[in-house]
Amino acid sequence: MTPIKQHPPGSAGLQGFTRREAEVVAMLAQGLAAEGIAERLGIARGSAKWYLRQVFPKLGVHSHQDAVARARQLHDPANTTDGASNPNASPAHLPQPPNPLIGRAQELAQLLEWLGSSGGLLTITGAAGCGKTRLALAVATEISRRPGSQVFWVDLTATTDPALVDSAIAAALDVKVSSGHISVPALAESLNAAPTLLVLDNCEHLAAACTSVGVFLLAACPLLSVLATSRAALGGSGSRCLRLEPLAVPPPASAAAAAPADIAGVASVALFAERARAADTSFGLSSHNASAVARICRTLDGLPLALELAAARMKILTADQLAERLEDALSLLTRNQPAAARRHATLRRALDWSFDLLPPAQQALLARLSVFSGGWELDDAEHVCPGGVLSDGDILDALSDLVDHSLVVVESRTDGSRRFRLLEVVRQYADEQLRISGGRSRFRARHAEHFAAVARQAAQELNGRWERVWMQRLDRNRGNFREALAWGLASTEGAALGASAAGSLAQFWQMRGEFKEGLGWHLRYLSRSQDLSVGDTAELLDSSGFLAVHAGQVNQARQYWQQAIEKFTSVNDDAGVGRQLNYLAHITMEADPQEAAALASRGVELERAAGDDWWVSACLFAQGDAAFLQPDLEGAAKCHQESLAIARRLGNQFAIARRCVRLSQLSRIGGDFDRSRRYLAESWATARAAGDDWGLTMALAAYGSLAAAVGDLEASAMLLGATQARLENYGARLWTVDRKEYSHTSRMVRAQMGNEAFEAIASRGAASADHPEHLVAAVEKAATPSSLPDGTDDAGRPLTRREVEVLGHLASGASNQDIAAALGLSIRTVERHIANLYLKLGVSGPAARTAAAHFAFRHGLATGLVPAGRKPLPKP
Amino acid sequence: MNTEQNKAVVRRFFTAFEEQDYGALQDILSPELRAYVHGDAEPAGRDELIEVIRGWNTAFSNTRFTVEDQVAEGDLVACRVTMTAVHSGGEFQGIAPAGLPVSSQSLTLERVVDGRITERRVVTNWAEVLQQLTPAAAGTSAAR
Repeated sequence: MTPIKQHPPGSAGLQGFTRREAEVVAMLAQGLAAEGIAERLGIARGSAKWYLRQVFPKLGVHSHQDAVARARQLHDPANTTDGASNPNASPAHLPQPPNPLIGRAQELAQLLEWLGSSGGLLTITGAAGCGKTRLALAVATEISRRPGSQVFWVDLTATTDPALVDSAIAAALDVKVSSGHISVPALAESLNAAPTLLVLDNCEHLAAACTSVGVFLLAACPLLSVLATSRAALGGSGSRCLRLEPLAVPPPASAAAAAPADIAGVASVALFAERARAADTSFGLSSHNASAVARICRTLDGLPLALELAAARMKILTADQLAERLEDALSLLTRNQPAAARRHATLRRALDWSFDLLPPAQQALLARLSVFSGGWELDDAEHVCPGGVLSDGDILDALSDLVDHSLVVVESRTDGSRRFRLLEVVRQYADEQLRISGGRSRFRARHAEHFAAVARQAAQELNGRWERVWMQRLDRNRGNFREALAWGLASTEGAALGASAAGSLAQFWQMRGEFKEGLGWHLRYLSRSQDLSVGDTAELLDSSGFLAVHAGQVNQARQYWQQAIEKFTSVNDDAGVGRQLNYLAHITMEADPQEAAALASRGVELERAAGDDWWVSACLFAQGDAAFLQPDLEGAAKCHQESLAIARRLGNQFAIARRCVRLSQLSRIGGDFDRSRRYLAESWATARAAGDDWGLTMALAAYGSLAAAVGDLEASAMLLGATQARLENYGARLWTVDRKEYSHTSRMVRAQMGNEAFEAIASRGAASADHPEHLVAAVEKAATPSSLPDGTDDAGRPLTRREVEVLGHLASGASNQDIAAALGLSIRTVERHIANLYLKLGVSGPAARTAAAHFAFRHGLATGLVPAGRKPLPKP
Repeated sequence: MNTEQNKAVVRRFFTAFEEQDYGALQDILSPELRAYVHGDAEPAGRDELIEVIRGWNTAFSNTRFTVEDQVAEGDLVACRVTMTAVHSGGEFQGIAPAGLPVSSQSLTLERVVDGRITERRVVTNWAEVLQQLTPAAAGTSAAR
């Protein structure tokens, strides 16, 4: 399937870019630098630079020179003919029409009329090669030009499992998933924002699933119309069906002695002439060739694809020669069959004829290309297809020939890449040829190896600055990954390869919210564990747990990880065990921080012994968070400091950013606001530079708490609002420590400001969710905390761990007696701690206790951090 | 032979069917094969079954089996299989090919002895498959 999205007006034409960013890219393409861009857009030079900083990581470049090159690629005139500066003018996210639509004016008008009058579920049916997709594309292009309407294009050829139709649609819509599952209601929600046309292309093999999803969506979305293309009609009451016939052909009489003027207006002739001109620019309909052209069109039944294949040969053959050869090739066809069967036979003969004319290398390549599903890029073909008559260096030439002969379709994509594809009917034909030649097994295996390697590389790069580029590559190759995974299951020798590919793709599925698909493949491979090594199975359990936990199936995840521990233990893979302990610590943290700390600290030991620094750092982070929650703030600081030191040594920017957030939080709670601010500033800058959106969100939440701590409630509310908006955008929840702190701060700020004021300011913050820099800058510049008094020696001094504990209980409304009982101290000791607390906080008088409680809330120190009456979960 | 090996033999049968590898089918199917397929009262022998597969591959292309579930006990292997194919090559039960895709669901039970399939029983939803082959039947329901 192709995730091609027609953005509603007002949003960007380039995927993932805001409108302004897209404008900046367009100017980069013209070679402008910051000054020029600022001038053209009428903005400050600093702003232009700021936009450039936003755009560079999105383009995946570091230098201005690279950015210009990349922007030019994106604005290749071959891609976006309507001009770069106005990305909304062209429906750049629909597949590009390969050639003009000929002879379908009536059908186009009919469909547009249906769409205009009642919408609903429309289907274009007709034999393969009739031009169903081309007509649907014309409708989509027309609709997308209407102001305020949006069009989504879903190509279903690479979706074979009926259960995944909704995933394919979600991918095209770029629906963010919150619950961990794609649901049809979630799709409905995003389809109802504006008048929408959803095109489901190539539905015939999924008719029932497409009908039911279509009917459901239509019932839920009054503004939606669905247009499907299928060889057979879809069911469903109230649906309308346009049966697409082949193009009209000249009458038999005129074939004998046709005059150009008589036949030029006949649709099949017009199409043939247009395609013939593409092959031979000097071609024109004349009295010499009119009869032959009429014969060709009749012989080919007016089938557009057959006409196109034939016309591609006009480079070499004359119309007479072509007519003769086609008549020979198609002469054996019986003419008394049902229309559908006859058209099918005609197309097959035309394909046979076209295939037979190819030299052996091209024949071999076409057959082998059938192993790709949903298209390929040159590099993919060069990896998968060579062998025998086709050497590595031949691929490019042979591929060009196949393109020239209209057997392969070229797509230029908005990201500058070229992609190739076989029309489904051609792919089916090529697959037959490959089976006949006996090479299918070998080339499917090669295809699977290649895409397993792509998945493996992607897994290493998905957390870095090339994330966007890799996600796009993975998105484009969904069909190919499915093929590779299916091959691994079907063949005995492919199980290990497929299992490792499934593991490599886990994060991709998670990021796309495609848990049904991801867990489905994992389960199928787990059922093949007899054919896998113990280590491979353990890895598979590891990534199964990863998917399950993100899908919200925490208990299932726990089981997978516990099983993984058994497997890793049995092969003495301590590092593997340590990783599972790290995961288990994270999911145990909320309910039982002590148990989580124990798990994580065992993980630290194992990873230290195994010498795997990265996982030592990860386990230390988990241990630090568990300590934070107990709360053991000194222990937490120790863990996070060491974890940060390792992350710095390894140069892992994401890890540095996140660990700095923790140390900032801990400094703030200890009362050291300057240090807290310094850590956060480092985190923010690091995450920005590395393109770490999650790290930025964590830092933003922490800035919210810091702002509250220094008494800037308004800034805090804005930051909290921005954080919340980002989380909703991802459909994610903050990690336990951040979440607890977030809810404490927001409860406190809300209480002090009043609900209405808080909501109003938070929603202003939410509006800056994508560009919260000015919110952060305000906190960074803020003066000495207004809420903390100065003057006394003790004021502002960090609280001891015990004092923090006492303060937490005090803030939750406990009496001194309660506190003494809870902490196992004498009342006198508690009183002494409280007196010290008051001194350090600079509060006194009758309201001292309330003021101290306020301070605790403000700094996330209220004991609510650890829920009362918790039930420890079963130990692993 | 253990049950895992028996399961692999049955998977190889489906692959050989897909690949039209009749040599491999000769190896996988026992000469003593008794195949009870599609409700036929009399079991088919090995050569007969291979002829049936040849016939299928003439009428249909792009045949693809997905083994959804597979369990084994003793010398028996049971599978739930989804098959997809395209009716593109020749007449099937009196229906001329029109390039329509078909899919079927089958439950199969194979007995594997010494690495070869000696018995095969298959239940398939044939009525639905035949329905998918006629474009007219598929088309009428959607007329407005």
